[in-house]
Amino acid sequence: MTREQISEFCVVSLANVLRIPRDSVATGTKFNRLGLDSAMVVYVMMELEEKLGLELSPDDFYDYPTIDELSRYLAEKHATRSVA
Amino acid sequence: METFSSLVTLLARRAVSQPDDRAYVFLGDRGAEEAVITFRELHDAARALAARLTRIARPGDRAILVFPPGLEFLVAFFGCQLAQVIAVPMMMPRRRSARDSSAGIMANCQPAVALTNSAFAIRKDLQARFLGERIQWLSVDLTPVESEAADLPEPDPQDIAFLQYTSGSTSEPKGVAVSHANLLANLEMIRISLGTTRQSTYVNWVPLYHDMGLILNALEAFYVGALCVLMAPNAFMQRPLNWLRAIHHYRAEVGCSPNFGFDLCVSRYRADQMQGVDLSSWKVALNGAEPVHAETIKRFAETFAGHGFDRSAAFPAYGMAEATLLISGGRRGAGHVTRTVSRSRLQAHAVEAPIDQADVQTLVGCGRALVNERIAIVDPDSCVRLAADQVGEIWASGPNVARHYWRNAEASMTNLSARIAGADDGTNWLRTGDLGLLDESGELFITGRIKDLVIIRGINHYPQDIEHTVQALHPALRQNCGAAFSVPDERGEETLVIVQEIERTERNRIDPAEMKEIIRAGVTDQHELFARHISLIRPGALPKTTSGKIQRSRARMLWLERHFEDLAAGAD
Repeated sequence: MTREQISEFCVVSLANVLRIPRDSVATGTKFNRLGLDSAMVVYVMMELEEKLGLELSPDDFYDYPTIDELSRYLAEKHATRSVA
Repeated sequence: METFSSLVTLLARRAVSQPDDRAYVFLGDRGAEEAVITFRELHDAARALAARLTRIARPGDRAILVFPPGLEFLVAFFGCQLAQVIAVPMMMPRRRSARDSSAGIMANCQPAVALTNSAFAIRKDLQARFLGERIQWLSVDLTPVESEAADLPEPDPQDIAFLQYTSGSTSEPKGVAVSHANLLANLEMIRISLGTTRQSTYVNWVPLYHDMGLILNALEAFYVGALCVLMAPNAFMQRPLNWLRAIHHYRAEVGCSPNFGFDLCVSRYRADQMQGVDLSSWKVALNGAEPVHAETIKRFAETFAGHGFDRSAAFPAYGMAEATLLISGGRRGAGHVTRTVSRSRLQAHAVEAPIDQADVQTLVGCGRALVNERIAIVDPDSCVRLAADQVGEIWASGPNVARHYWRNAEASMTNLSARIAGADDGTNWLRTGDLGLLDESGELFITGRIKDLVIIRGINHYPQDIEHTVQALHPALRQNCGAAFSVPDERGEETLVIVQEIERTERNRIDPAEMKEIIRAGVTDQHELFARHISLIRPGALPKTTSGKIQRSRARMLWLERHFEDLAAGAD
C-alpha cells in the first residue's frame, strides 16, 4: 500500500473510532489533540495490523504522533516487508 | 457451603483439601500459560510473605499492592491476609500521566509497606514517584523465599481485610474498609447467585485492582475452589477474542466484563479467528460495573450463537465497592429481563409507557437483592421509602455493606449509615447515589445517577478532576467555571462533554479550535478519555448555585437543549 492509501485508511479508522466526520480528521494534528486515548489507539492499531499484515506496537503511535508521520513510517515498513 | 470466618481459614483448608489443584493460571499475550500456582503453592508463598511482613509491619498497618498483571498480586493479597496487614490494591501509575489518585491514596492510608514484583521494583519512574515516602518496598515472587514460619493468629471477622479506593475524586479518594465478615458474606451471596462450584472455571481479564477483577473473579473462584484463569487487561483490549478462546479452551463457566467488553468482542469478531471455538460451557456471562445495554446483550448473543453461546447465560448485575462488590444479580441460567418505558417521562423520573417508537427506552433488569440483603428505593431528599415502580435513589443494606471509609467519618456517616425516614428498626443503609426502581417482583432497574460521576468503560471518573485538568491548561480557561459530564451517544454509550467558560479579556485573543485541541490533548493524557464535545462559552453562562458551586446536572440539561452559545461554533 502507498503512503496515501495508508493515510486514507487511518482517516477512516480514526473517524470511526472518534465518531466524527472524516473531514474533521486532520492528518497533521497530533493524535492526542484529536482526543485519541490508549484504548482507541489499540483499536486503530489492530485495524492497521490486519490491513497491512504487519505487527505494530502502541508505541508507534507515540513515536509517529500524526497520521502523516505514521503513514510514512508504515508505508516504509510495509514496503520493506513486501520486498523481504 | 460450610462457613468460614476469613480467607485465612479458607486458604489453609484449600491447601489441605485440594493441594495440587490449580488455583490460578496466568496467560501470556499469545494465550500460552505463563504462570501457574496450585492451592498449596499459594498457601506456601503467602505464608512466606506473611512471615517477612510481620517483621516489618504490625497488624492493621497498610500495604499498597502495585503490580503488573500476573499472579504475584494474589500471593501479596493472601500474604497480607495472613499477616493481618491491610491490603490496598492500587492501579499501576501510568508513565505518561502526571496526575493520578496514587498521591491521594497514599496520603489517606499512610502505608508502611509497598509490595510489587521484582521486575517492577526496578521501574525508575515508580521509584521516583514514591521517593520521599517512608515506605519499605518488598518484592513478591511466586516461589517462597525460605523463611521461618511465623506464628499467625486468626483475624477477627470485624477486622479490615482490605481497602478499596474506587470511589472519591483524585484529590480526595475514599477507601472502602472491607472487613473479613463483609468479604465472606458477599462471596457467599455471589456463590448462591451464580450457582458456582469447584468445577466452575473462571476466565478473567478485568484488572485485579478493580473490584470486579479481584472479588467477582479471583476471590470468588478461590472461594468455591475453582480455577481462575487470568489474562492481562491489555491483552484483552488488543485481542478480545482471546478471552473467548480461553473460555472455550478451559471449558469455563464464568466470564465477567463491563458492558464495553462485550461490545468489543462483537466489533472485533472475525469468523476465521473463531473457527472451532465452542462457548457452550459458558453459563454466567456477567455484565456489570457500568450501565448494561439491552442492545449489547442482543448483539453479543446473535454474534456468538453460532459458537454455542446460550443467550440465557447473559447475566446483568449491579454493585459497587461500598457493598464489597455485588448488590444485585440474577439467577444462573434464568436469562435477563427487559422493560420498555418512555424515554421522555423517565427524564422526569416517571415510569410510563412510551408515546411512540422514538420515545422507547429499554431498561435491563439487574437482578434482585441477594440472600440476606435488602434493597430499597428512597426519595433522596426526604429519605422516604418509595413504592414499586417509582424511581428514586437505590439504597442497600446487608452484611456485605462496609461500615466505614478509611479515616473519613463524614462520608461514612452520610453514605454508609443512612436511615430511612419513619423506620425505627435501626438499620444502616448504603446510599448508592444511583437512581432506579424495583418492580413488583423485586427486580432492580437502574435508570440514572444522582451523583456527578462519569462512568466510561467501567471506570469511574470524577468531574471535578477533569475540570481541574482543563482549567490548568491555559489562562484563558476560567478557574472553577467549567463542567464535565457524560451523555449517551447515538449508540447509547456514554461520551464525555466539557463546557468551559473563557475569560472575557481572552475571548478575542485565543483561537477556539486550537483551544479545543489543547483541551482534548490534556484530557486524553491525564484521564485516558476522549472529550468528544467541547463547548467554550462566555463568562457567567454556566449555571451555579448561590454559593457558587457548579450545577453539573443543570449544565448537562442545558447542553442537551443546545442552550449554550459556543464561542467556537463550527470549530468543534
